[in-house]
Amino acid sequence: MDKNVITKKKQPTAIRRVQIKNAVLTILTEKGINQLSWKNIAKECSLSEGAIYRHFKSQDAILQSIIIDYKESLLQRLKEITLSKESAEKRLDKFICTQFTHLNKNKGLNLLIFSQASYSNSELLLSTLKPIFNLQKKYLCKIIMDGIIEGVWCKTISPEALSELYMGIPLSINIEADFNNSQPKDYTYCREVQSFILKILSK
Amino acid sequence: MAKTKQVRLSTQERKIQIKENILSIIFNEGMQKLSTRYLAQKIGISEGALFRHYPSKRAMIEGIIQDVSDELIEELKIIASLNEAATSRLEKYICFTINYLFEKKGITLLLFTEASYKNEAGLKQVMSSIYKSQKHYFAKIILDGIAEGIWDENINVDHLTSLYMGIPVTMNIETILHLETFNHNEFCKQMEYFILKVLAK
Repeated sequence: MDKNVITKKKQPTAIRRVQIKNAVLTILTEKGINQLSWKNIAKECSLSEGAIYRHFKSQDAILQSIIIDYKESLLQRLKEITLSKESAEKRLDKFICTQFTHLNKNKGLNLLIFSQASYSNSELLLSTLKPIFNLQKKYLCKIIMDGIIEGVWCKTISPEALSELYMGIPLSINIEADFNNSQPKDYTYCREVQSFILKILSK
Repeated sequence: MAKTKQVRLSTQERKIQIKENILSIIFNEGMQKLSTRYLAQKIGISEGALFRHYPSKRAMIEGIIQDVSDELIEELKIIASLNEAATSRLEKYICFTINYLFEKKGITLLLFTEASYKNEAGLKQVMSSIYKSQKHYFAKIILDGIAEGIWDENINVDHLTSLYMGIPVTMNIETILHLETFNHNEFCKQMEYFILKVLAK
């Protein structure tokens, strides 16, 4: 093979997929979801639309792959926290702060993808998102139940309902930041949320 | 002609019907499906008839957002200023909001997907003002309760208000993902109980 002919180095599939996903993430967080088109993705990662299509058959498939990455990085960590041997209060603290730190880093990515999923009523995206929401709720419920069993928290609290209240917080923070064109509330807010949750849980 | 004549609705009724159908499409089929052609077909009128009531799709969406201002925000303003104890106003406030958003499923979705999609300044401003009004009247009730001496004065009202604003959002997600098991009356009671517990001295 004549090496001089090759102008662009062929990258392995895994690397290409990461490049494409990063391009989509950049568009989502910097330009907004309405700028997400094949043309813009191709421009952002300097590939042809055809080349992208070889790796992902639809834009939803790219978003789905991003959600799965998110799931693996955050949910794995939340699971470890939930199942660790520490006291429920300690785990709750780590759970909330891990999630908020992640949220700050990802600039409301989850909300964007949720918007996209509901905008297009995409079965693929909704069915990928559903277990993520459910798992986060499930882990939090477990920590709360453990604390109730340990005898440190109020036993009349419904762990499911409290988890639902909690799940809305990161989302409303993002919406607010979007309206104000500002960064989401910072790290100290996670302490505040934690103190609210602990007060609700107190006997 | 064999064709049965369609019952003629008043302009007002027709407008309500159009808006209800838009929300139903948004909630059940997704915003992307919302075209005037599809909407007209779903209602069973011509697109031309649709445009006699609203000049554009955008005008229909604005009509819905205006309803939120008139029906939800106005009512919340009244509740917040009632001559009643803060606890009673808080209960009414939370339950009215949840019932309204549950009855009009699709509203929350419309409000926040439009916000993230359209970087249209005008629309975004109206939505931002709806959001801020909800926060503002909620904060007023909390401050009144603290002044009455019944609630904890060390609570950061701004942060509690942000916590409260997560409730409609989480409800929206619950209704999209688990509509079959979601009970909005129970949800409302639980949320009210949590807020009161945060506020307790």
